[in-house]
Amino acid sequence: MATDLIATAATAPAAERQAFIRIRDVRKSYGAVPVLNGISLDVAEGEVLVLCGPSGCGKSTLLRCINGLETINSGDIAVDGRSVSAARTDELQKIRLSTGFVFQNFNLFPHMTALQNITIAPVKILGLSQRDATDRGRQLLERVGMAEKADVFPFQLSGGQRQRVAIARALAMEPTLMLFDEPTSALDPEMREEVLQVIRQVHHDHGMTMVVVTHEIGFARNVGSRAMLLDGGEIVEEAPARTFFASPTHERTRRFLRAIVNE
Amino acid sequence: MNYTFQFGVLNDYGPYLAGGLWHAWWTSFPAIIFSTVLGVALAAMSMSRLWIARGASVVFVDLFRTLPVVVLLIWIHYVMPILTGVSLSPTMSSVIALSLNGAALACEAFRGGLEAIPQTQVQAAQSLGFSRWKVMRYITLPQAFFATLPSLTNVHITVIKNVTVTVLIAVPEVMFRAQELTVQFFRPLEFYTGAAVLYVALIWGYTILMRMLERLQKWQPI
Repeated sequence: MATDLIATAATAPAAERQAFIRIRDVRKSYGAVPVLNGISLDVAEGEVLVLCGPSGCGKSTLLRCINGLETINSGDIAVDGRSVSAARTDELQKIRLSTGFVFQNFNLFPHMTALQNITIAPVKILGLSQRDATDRGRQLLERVGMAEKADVFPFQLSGGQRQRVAIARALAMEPTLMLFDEPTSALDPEMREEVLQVIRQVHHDHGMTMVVVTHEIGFARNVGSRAMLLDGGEIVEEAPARTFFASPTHERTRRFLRAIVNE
Repeated sequence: MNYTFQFGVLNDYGPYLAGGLWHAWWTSFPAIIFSTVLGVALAAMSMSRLWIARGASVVFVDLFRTLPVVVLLIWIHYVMPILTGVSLSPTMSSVIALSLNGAALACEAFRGGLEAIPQTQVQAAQSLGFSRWKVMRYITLPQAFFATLPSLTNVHITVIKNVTVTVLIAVPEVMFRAQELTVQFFRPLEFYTGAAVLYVALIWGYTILMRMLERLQKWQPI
């Protein structure tokens, strides 16, 4: 049996082996409440996958499972060939080093300045010198348009500014994968654009693999390579981003898109 | 009331009485340091994944916050030497008793502060590759420190106040000297009032110090 599995893995089709994120039949429930009902999907390297769906559909949970912030009940999730769901704690920490996570509510460290928020992980986790980390941190702040706020604490920043610092914090680890969990949902409409612009810029500069949970249709259509609707813990529809938003095939997707356009 | 106040005795013996503060401080200050350090360690242990660490923390806290300080003090000073053959100076016994009691109280204060840190902070740190220990060291403990300061001040005040029970094993602090002088001069009101004023002054001074420490917090929770 075990040898069969190894043989299967070795002879798996090329496309499957190249998948940067490989999710197979993932199931998760909170107690008796099922959240993910057998999700399978692949994300290729450099691809930007947009996840949509009504609240409670499991999209954020899926994203958190990819980073091992939630454990799954069955199935398998692998990032860059390394299993997240079967990883020991120390392996998981290594996998997370190359994955950036951007939260809906920013989750900046309130007791550190914007610059310290960005340098803490490179210094304490990667072992960079304080000077190198500071140089890199200042460059990143510059990139997200926050250079003049380096020594300001998060409570003194607006929501959009906080999120831009949070993106810089994730980028400081030079991740190969970025996960965005509704990065603009907690923001006022006029602040959303400044954050979306930063994400576009990051994608343009790095071309890194991204999974974005968002309801920003314009952004999703321009930046996303593929889009997906989740409902009831299942994938309802999956298509290239432009097709997905221009001519969705499922009635459920049409209803959802109408609802968020009318928001 | 036909008591004649003679605060004049304090002119002569006030300095001796006040000298007891030196002993009170050098008994309570080490106890404050030990109880705080031990309290942080116990609070960290209480959040460990290892059941043995959590269990040890619970047993320690429940034992030393239920033991009355007087019982603990007498036990350490008079009973422990019978069991171990090692006898300690009154000040040493007092520091140990006050530290153990203070650590149990400090642990609960820190635990409250740590549990008040949102879980999202832990997740943000984990997503950057922080280990559980580093999350504690760099993210939750520094935030909990300032959140805990007001209740930690209360713990420290309790430790200082508990110094007065060391009168039982003859640590020459203020209460011991007040008792000594009262027996000699039959002036309880003057000497015990003097002791009260001295302790209030010591503890009030300490709280001012702690408030200054609170003001060092330049950030605000969000």
